Amino acid sequence: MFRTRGLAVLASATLLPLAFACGSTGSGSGGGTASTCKPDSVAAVPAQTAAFSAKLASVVHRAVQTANDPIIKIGFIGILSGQYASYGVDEQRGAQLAIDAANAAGVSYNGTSYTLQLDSQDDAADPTKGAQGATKLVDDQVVAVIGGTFSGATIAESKIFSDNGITQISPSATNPKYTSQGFKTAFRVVGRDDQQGPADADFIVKTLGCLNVGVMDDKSQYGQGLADAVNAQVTVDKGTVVDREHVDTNQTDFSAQLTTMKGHNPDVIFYGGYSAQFGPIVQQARRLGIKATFVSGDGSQDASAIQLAGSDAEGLFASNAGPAPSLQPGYAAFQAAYKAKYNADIFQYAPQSFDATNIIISAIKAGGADKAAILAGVTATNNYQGVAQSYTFTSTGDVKESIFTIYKVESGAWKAVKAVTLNVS
Amino acid sequence: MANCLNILTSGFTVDGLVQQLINGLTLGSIYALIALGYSMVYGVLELINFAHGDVFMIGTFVVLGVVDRFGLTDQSSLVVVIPALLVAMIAAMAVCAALGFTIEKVAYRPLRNAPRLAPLISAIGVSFVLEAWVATYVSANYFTLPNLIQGEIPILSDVSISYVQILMFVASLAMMFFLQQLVQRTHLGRGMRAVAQDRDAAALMGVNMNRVVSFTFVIGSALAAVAALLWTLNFSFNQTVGFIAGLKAFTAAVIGGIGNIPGAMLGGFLLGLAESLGAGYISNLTCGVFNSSYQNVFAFAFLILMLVLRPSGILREHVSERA
Repeated sequence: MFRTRGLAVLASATLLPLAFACGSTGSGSGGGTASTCKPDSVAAVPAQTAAFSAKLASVVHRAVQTANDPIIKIGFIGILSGQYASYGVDEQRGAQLAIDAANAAGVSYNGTSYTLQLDSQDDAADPTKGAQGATKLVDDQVVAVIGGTFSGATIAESKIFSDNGITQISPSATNPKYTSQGFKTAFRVVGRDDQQGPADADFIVKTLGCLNVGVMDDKSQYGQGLADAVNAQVTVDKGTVVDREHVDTNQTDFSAQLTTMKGHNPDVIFYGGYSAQFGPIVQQARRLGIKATFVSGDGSQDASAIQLAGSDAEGLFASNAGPAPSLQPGYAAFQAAYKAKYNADIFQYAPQSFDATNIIISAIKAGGADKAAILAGVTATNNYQGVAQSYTFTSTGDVKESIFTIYKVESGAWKAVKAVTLNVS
Repeated sequence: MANCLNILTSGFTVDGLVQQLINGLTLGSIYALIALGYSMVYGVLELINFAHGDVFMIGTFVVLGVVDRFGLTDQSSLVVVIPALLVAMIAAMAVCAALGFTIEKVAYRPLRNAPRLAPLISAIGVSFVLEAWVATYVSANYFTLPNLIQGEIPILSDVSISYVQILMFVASLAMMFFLQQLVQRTHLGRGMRAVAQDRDAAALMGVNMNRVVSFTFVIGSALAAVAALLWTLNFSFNQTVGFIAGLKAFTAAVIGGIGNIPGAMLGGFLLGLAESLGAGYISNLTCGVFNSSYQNVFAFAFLILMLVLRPSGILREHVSERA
């Protein structure tokens, strides 16, 4: 008796921490209306030719650098390990290309010429690891930082950089909280989820014409934030959110949530989360006989989503922060330089990372390698023309011209179908 | 109040209910297969083999490797797929059985007479080693198999049961049947039952303890390999899949009565159903207060309640007595 009770208690105690998952919003109930929903009517826009030559492609001469040049360290922090390493490594490469180009052309201020170095730390998308990496960068006396990659870790790192007066520019974090904390040092060169969400919702309701929307998310800071924004905007646009479901980031069987969703008959299902789950969700939905069109955000707009969804990948939509490669002025030249050095294609945010690094380098050339001067210089950035787009920072550190692109999977690859530009004041 | 009544039935269809039941039973059949391994090992050694979930995980990667080697795609015809899956199953069973045998020999046997906690910690350690090894030397990415077995049978107007789901259900029942035969009819099976009943008396009667224990681990791991094959046909996986699936399967084993083979199966199905129906209907049953994100809370709260009411499990536990 003693033994069995002990085992029961042990089992319960082991399970209790596992069981607690927090959800926030309730699900909506809804009826259907006649559908104007035409997801197949939207197709890829043809690529536009680039008419802009990137600065780095024109660098020919090497500046004379002596071994005595003082070294300025620019920090990088991002996802360098784990299943999402492709994002972070890509950004790191973008930053390194900018630094190499700057060193080749020569960086100098007030008669002193400097050598730039990239100090990289891995945050593995984990806030705790990010905080440790950020502390290390502070100890290494970096003057500015490019990073983090995903929002959760970026937000954790931002406090540490703010406390030490280090300018931080994230090439890809989209959660609004990052810049709404009031830190003068937090900047980003992409739009936010509270802009991406409405852009997605508008696309679903207005462009696709689908009014019955199901919303799912993975309860992560990014996923749920994005899904909440879409949820709100669909209602504003006079659509109906017929069902709201949540899954866990570790979940692999989505049939329960999908079956419930199916019972509410949505025309479109929006998923806020990452491709590791978006792919299997789509696959399982199709097996259950769900015919709805799937739309997701920038966490799913990558090759892994197509690979995991397999043959069900055709016709998926996903938005992403930043302009489509075909619409980026300097993309072709940058891609050529990237391929030449790394023998690989750009994954996603390397152009943004490259631009962010160059914004910092411009600040160094204008005001010196002192942290306060760099912060002042970056804050005052006005219409800086980068590879991806032109940048002006708002008072909160967001980018004024916030560009999102909607992509569709056609013939097994993501193709840009629509660009949305929001001018934020 | 009226709003509550509204939510109570919102979105409810008989089709939906039947679909959730099917989902629950298919998921439950996988939990049941993994639970058998936990149950048998606990019955014989009174050890919770935390590494069992990760043996299952290794099985999923073996299946992936074989399917990859055969170059199977969505378009591959059944003539190619069936033999390939059989090869995958045999390969996975072989690898998992060998792995289970090795883990027992290396991590548990030396600690057989140590205090109870020592092998438990050792098991957790093995679990970490396996996960880290896969993450570092194979990949930390998620994987899915292509749609190898397609097609379904419609049941009601909007419900169909897919061939994969039928396969999962039938395979796990078949495995349980074989296991029961093994335990009831063979020499080693009798040895297992004897050790489970009274370890010292069994040794006195000439039962080879080491052989029985190794046999138990080998069989349990082979079953986990079958579960792994069925898992890959339907779900995605990475190196962490063993942890969650394993924990739930262990729960299932306790619910059904640890050490009890039919109990493990029952527990597995019950847990699968609790998860499925919970996720599907929490929102309805609680007037929208809780939504489907409370799926795990609901399932485990239900199970904790069951344990409190019936601590030795539904079909009663079956562990050895100590005089």
